[in-house]
Amino acid sequence: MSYENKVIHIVGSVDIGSGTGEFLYVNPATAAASQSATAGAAPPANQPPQGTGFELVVEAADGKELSRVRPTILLPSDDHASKTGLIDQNVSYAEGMARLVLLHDGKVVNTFEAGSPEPTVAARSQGLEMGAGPPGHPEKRSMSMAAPDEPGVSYTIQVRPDGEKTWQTIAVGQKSPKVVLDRNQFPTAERATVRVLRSTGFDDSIIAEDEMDLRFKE
Amino acid sequence: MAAAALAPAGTGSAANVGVRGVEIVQVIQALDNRVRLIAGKPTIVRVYLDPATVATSTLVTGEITWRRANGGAFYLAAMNRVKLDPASTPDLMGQRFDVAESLNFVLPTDALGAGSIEVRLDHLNVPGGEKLPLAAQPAMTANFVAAPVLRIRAMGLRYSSTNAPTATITPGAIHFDYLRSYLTRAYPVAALEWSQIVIDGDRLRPPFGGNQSILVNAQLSALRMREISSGMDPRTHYYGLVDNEAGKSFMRGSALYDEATTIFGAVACGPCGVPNGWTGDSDASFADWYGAHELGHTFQRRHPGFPTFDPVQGTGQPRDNLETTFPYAGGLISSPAQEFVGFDFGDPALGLQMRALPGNIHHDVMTYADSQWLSAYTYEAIHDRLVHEDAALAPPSA
Repeated sequence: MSYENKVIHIVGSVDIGSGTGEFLYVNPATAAASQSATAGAAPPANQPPQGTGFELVVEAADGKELSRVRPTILLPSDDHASKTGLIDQNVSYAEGMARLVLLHDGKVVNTFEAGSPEPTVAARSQGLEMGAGPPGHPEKRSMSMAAPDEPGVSYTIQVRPDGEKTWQTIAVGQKSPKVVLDRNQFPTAERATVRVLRSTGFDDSIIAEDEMDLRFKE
Repeated sequence: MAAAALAPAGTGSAANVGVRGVEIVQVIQALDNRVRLIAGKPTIVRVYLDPATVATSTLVTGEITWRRANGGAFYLAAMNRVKLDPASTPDLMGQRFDVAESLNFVLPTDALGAGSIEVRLDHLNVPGGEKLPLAAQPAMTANFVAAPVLRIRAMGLRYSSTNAPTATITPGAIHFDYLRSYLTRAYPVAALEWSQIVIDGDRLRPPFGGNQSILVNAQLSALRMREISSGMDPRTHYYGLVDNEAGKSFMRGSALYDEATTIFGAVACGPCGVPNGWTGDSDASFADWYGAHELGHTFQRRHPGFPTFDPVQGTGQPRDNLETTFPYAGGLISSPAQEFVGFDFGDPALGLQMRALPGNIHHDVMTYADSQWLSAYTYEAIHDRLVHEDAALAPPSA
């Protein structure tokens, strides 16, 4: 997909007590989307809250450091003793970015390696297949497409009911393009367009887009 | 809104029925009608009559007029009748605390457009009978201001039960309905742009640990960014509902807070279920006020610190150090003088009746105390934040 002023949206969890953490979701996004979280915010502080010590490094494939930021670490509003925080950070897209490294006090905590930029042949050639839903649930259908488990690759599945302009996301960050579609998620629609986005973390592409009849026969 | 002075009780001829006060109310109001009125939001005019000015117990109803600018007056009948009894009618506070003790007029939609209208008590009468003597009443000016739309995407997150592993726990429609209704009734908006969906929770595994809401908010943040990048309005706040499996799997809710910038993010999540009297709530869902609290954070509202935090027991609510101006003792929605009284229009579709909310027992929605509603302080602050976001985050085409 093409994004105007692309940024990379990085979500991860960290333990500010033990200095551990992991990446949970890495996807491209529009810069406009990234503004909303910080609207009205004070200028970002140069230092993170005391005691966090986390850094986020963007690297090229050869290990060259492209950028480094103190990530925004969000804490839960209603758990005052929590040591768990959330990294919710946007970084500018840069040509050649291939890896994210999460550091704590200079030590590597977790690494995200971007997936292969080209969909596999299998992923390119297969459309979405609709199968039976769970037993006893005629309102549901399984939906999947053949795709190998590729390191660094994740899938987003979006649905746009007939007559609507916006895509609704029913799954994000999935290791395989598989989801249960429930027609009751879109009660006013008889048909919908379903698409699968394959994300390498730093780029994504639509690898399937099919119109579906939601009037499942019971 | 500046209200014209009203004739105090006992003025005029001895035979005139006295008027103790008039409030024009949407969510919460003071007798001087200082709380902002939102254009298009359901509005009621409450008239408090003085029982000392009638000789005997009398049923009373009446009409008001409302007019815009120099237009003609529209007559509007009261929706109820009140029993004025010198021996038993409560004092002014008692009248404000009970919707049945005020003469009530629901303003029609035409009266609620942005701008000013003039409201005047026209006459009082015995139902079906003669008019009662009433001194000429001063006109009041009600000024309605346009408010931005509240945009909420509610996402129910389902998970596999650990108590019954084959069971999938999904938030029921009632919880979405209660949250939607409460936000419409209590937030400073006339319109709610609402969408809802149920999806699988990615890392939602009971028994829920202390960090469960962080993981739910991680998923919501990723979803939100994907959807806004795909055309969703960036002013949309996301809220995740996680069913409490009849009390067996309670996830404490949270919003996301950035200590560096002192700003809350636009996603939050919380539990939903049947309260069974929890925090004074005996209706069918606690998703309403719980969600309004967490979403309040996403509009930069902080904890005022009530009930007082006990660090030994771990009970109560620590006060946010940046919340320095919350005005009401005990986290209530009013000062002890009962300056403010809340008002809930109710929701017939949910069996929720219209009622007044006394400021001596109802607490601000940002506290952890029982019986929650929005204080004027929180109401005005959320309005200000909505106005800010409406301009600052408007998509280019908006």
